[in-house]
Amino acid sequence: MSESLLRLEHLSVSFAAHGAGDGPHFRAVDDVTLDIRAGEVLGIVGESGSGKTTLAKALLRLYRPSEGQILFRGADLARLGERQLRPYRRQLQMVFQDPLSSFNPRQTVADSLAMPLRLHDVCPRAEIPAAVDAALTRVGLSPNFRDRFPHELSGGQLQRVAIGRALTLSPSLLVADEAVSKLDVSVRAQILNLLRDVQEASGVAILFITHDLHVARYLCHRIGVMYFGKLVELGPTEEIFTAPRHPYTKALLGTLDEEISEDAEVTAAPPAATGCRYATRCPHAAEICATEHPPLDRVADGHAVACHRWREIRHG
Amino acid sequence: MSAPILEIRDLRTRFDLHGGSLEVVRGVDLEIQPGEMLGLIGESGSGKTITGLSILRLLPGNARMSAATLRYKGSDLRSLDDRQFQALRGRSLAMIFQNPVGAFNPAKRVDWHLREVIRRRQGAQADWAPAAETALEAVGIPRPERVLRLYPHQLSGGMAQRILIAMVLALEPDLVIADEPTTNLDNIVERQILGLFRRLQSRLQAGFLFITHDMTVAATLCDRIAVMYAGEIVEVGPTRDVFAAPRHPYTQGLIATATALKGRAKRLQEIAGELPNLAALPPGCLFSPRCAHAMERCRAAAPPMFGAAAHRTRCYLAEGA
Repeated sequence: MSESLLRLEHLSVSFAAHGAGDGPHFRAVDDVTLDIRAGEVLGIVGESGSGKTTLAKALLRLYRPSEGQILFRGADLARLGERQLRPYRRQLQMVFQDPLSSFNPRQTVADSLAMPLRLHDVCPRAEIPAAVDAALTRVGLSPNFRDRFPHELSGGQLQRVAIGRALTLSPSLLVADEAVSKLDVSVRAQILNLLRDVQEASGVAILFITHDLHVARYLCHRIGVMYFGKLVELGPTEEIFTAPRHPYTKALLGTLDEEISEDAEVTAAPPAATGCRYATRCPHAAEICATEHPPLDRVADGHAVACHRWREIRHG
Repeated sequence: MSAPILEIRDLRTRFDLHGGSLEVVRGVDLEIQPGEMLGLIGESGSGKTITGLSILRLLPGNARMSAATLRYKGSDLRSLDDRQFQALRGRSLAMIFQNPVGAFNPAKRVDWHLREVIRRRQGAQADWAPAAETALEAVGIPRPERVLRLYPHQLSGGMAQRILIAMVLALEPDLVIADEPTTNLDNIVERQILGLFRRLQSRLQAGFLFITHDMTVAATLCDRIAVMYAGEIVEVGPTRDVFAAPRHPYTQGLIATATALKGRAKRLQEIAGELPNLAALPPGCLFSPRCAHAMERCRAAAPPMFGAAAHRTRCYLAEGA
């Protein structure tokens, strides 16, 4: 499990702050270095605007990174053109948040499942119907679903089809962006269990993007925490939950406490433009935090934190 | 126990559609006491939002609502004409929506909204500015004079929800209906807004109907909870009792999932199947097709509510409980 499958090196993604042009740019992902290991489920957690979705889309080259590298099987995906990317796309698949909008409304389930098989010439045409049935069965749906249209399926059923479609090409990495957050609560557990089952059965690595810490804990082997474009902490799931080092991670985990106090601190400051992004909200901020962004520092094996003061802050 | 703020018996709401009509609220009974926070829990399509809108007469034109009892502080809301009802709504009855930015008039600044509310409360001559600043400070907005000058589109979701809560504080209503007020917010902001609801509850003698799909949120905030499924209340009781000993298999499933996610679960317990189609409801108990405990009688006839007054359950398993 420790073998690296895909590596992001100093990856940044910028958007023009006021439409197109040479004006000021906003860095949605800011200098992120990260390994995704073969066969692991890596969770990226953060609030909206933290850059977690942008990170996922840049990794799949749905966005063009402004700086840095995406190293995969000896190539740097950040530099490849569309045509050169194509063989790699088969290896990197995605499941989106909203299942209904990720299907062509005029195609049947069978058409949608067959499309990737045709595009990538995976198997002889004659074998496609059998492959479609196998894909449905794998995600717990009866082959009777093949002739249905997306609007005839519930959100949970469609998300099953989306997972099935992503897996038809036997990818080595599946990116799931908030894949359960739009589903009904009573259906969410089914899909989480399904993701876990197919992951264990196929050994596909999953990059699981979520704002839900409970869900991340259930599914992920390792968790990375993002705050305004920066990766601020990365480590094994249980270490992140039981011994978090970054003040922001601690604040996020604090939201899981049972008690809600009416006197809880209620103001929120915007992120800092320079230095540590979290300094404006951090109770431990010192002078250096306002000027320099801290690099990721090793806490223990596989656990790193980007905080100037993590050694001084009592943890717990 | 004092007179309830709100008392509802057999609330039914039906939508007229092209090919007929669809009953989405199917005989709901609710009661809210002064100072009480009642959580109304359900998934999308369960009818929880329509229940809230029905109470406030905010339904779209193709909806029809009826109730055996609909009392606000002892007086019959059904007998009020639209003008009389309008005088109550936005004065004694307030609503907080899921999309806070959409609840503002986009062409007016924050100060206009607060002025409206404060003058509605204190009269047209009221000196609204100090009251507005006090209300904003009470919801943790540090320099209120700066925020008063902003337009709604300049507000973040959390800030907009804070301001709406400040408006409710200034309005001092008797009944607050909040529909998924934290669902679009990030964890940390959600936590802060839930804290503000605590603050509202302790400062106002109002009754609260807190609509949510999130068991965990309801557990931390509400005094009592009512669980809705396919337009019906399937279980209602004090939060502590319902969480300690849920009686309806649906409630049990929701709580099992929520608790398992909180711990280090090996595997999540699933509720099989999907929500029923309201246009083609199953016979008998509406949950029976998904229920692991379903018996023959469940499919034959819908169960009534069983149990003592405080904790009631629409399930044969709770018979004699």
